[in-house]
Amino acid sequence: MNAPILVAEHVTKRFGSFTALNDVTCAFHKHQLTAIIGPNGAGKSTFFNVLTGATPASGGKIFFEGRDITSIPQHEYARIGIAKSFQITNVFKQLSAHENVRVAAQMRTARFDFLRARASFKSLIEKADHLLERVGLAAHRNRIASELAHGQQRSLEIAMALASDPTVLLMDEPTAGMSPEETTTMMNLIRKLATERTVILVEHKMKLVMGLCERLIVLHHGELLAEGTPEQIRTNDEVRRVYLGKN
Amino acid sequence: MTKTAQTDFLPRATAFIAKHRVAAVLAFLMIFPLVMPYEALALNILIFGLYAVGFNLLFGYTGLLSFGHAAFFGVGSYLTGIVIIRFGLSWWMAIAVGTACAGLVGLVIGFLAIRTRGIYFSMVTLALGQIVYYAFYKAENWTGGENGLRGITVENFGIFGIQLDILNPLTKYYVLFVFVAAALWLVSRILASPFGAVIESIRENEGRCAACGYDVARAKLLIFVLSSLICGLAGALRALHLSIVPIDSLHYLLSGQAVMMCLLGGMGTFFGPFVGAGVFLYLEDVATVFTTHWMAVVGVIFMLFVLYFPRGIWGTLIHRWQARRVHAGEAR
Repeated sequence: MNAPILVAEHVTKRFGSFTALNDVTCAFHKHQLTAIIGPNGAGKSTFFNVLTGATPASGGKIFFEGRDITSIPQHEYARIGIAKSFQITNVFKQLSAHENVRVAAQMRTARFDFLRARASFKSLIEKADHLLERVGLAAHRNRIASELAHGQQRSLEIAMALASDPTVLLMDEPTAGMSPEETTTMMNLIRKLATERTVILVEHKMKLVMGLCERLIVLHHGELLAEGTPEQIRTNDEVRRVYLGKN
Repeated sequence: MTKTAQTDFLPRATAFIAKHRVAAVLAFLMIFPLVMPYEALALNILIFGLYAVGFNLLFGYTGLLSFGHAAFFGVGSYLTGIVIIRFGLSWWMAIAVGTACAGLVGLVIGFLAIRTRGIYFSMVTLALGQIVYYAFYKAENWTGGENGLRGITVENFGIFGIQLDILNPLTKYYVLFVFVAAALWLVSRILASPFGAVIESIRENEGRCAACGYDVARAKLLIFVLSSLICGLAGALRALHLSIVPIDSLHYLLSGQAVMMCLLGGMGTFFGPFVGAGVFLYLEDVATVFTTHWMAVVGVIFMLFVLYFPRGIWGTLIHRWQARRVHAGEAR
C-alpha cells in the first residue's frame, strides 16, 4: 500500500449542539481512488468540507504529506496541492468557459500581477485550452459559463480544479444531477484522472463507486463505520445492515 | 448586402472601440470640451468621470459597494490644496501628495472594511467616510471648516517653450486631461491584467476564487487602495480646477453620486462611468435652469434607468451591439 497523503485524526465537527462528525480517523493513500460513502445525513459533505478547509473542524487534526494543515486559510489549500470540485456547481457565471479555467490556472504564475496583460501569458491560455479539451468542452470555449448545460458546468469545474495542478483532487458527488450518458463520461474521466493523482470522491450512489474505487470509507451518523476494499465493504455485515438496509 | 453592411457597422465600431478602449476614450475626451456648452462643465465631467471610473473598479468590477468614496475624493482635494497653501509646493507635486494621501486613507479604511460583506461593507465604508468628513470639518485651522479651503493658486508654467495660461479654461482642461489620460491608461492596464481577472472572479464567486488559491482579502485590499488612488487623483484635479475645496467634497452625497453615475452609465464597463458622470452633470446643469429641485428630475431619470435599463446607458449599448454581432456571427 502507498504512503498516506491525507490523514484525518479524531476529526469532530459540531454545529451548535448537533454533532455532524464524531471522532473520525482515517487515511487516504497516494494514487488511490477512494470514495467516502454513507446514507443521507451521514456527514459525508461535512467531512468533505473539513478536509478541504471550507469549514473548520471543531476538534481533531488534518495532515497533508505529514504537515498539519488543520488551520491554514482556505486559499492555501489550492497552493499546497489540494483542489476540489463542489457539489453545487460553483463557477464564475458571467465569465467565458475559457476564462474560468484561465483564472484558475494563473494562480501559480501570475496571482496579483496588475500591470502586464493577460494576453501576454500565452502558456496559461494554452493550458486552459488543453484542460477544456480534456473535459470535453473545447467546442464551448467562448461561451458564458452560465449558458452551459448542468453537466458541462460540472465538467468545467473539474477543469478549473485541475488547473492548479493538484496532487489531491476531492470531488463532492461529481455525478449529481447528471444524465446516464453524462455520468458514464464523467466516470471515465475520473478513472483517467485517478491514474495521475490521488482522487477522493464523496458519493451516495453505492453502485457507481463499487466498480470505480479501490478503497471505500463508510460514514454513518457522523462516525466512521467501516473502511476497506469494495469487496470487504460489500461483505461487511454492519455496512449491509445500516446502509444497504439488508439483514 | 447593403443592409447587412449597415447593421454590421455599429457592432463593428463597438468591437473596435472595445479593443482600443483607451485610445477611443482619449480621442473622445480630446474633442469633448469643444462640443460642450461651456468648458467648466466639460472640466467637471472630466474630473467626475475619473472619480466614477475609480469607484467602478471596486463597484462594477469587484462587486463591492462602497458608500465612503467621497473620503478619497475629498482627501485628495484637501491635501492638494493644503500643501500648496501651507508649504508652497508646486501644483504637480501637490497632486502627487494629494493622491498618495487618498491612497493611505484608502489603505486604512479598506483594511477595516474588507472584513465585512454586503450591506455591512457599505455601512462600514459610510461610517468611516463620515469620520473623515468630521475630522476635516473640525480641523478648521487647516481646512477652513465649513467655509472650505480657499486660495489655492496655480502658477502659470511653460512646456516645450510654450507658456501656458492655466486660467484659460480650455488650457486648464487639456492640462488636467493629461493626468486623466494617464489614470485611464493605468485603469485599463489593471483590468486587462491577471489581477483584473482575479477581481472579476471575486465579483462572480468569492468562495470559488478562494478555492482557486487566491487570497481574497488581500486582493480586495489592493483593489480598494488602487480605487482610492484614482478617486484621490480626481479630487486633486478638482482642487486645481476650482481653486477652492468645498467641504461638500467629503460629504456622503458625493459617495452616493459615484453609485448613481456608475449605474446610469453602466457598472462593470470601462467607459460607462464616464457616460454616467456626463449625463448626470449635464442633466444637473440643464435642470437647474428650470428648477431648484433638479435632484427630483435626476432622481426620476435614475429610477427609470434602474428599472428598465439595469445595464446603464453604455452597458445597454454594448450588450445590444455585442449580442447582434454574436448572432450575425452564428448565422454566417
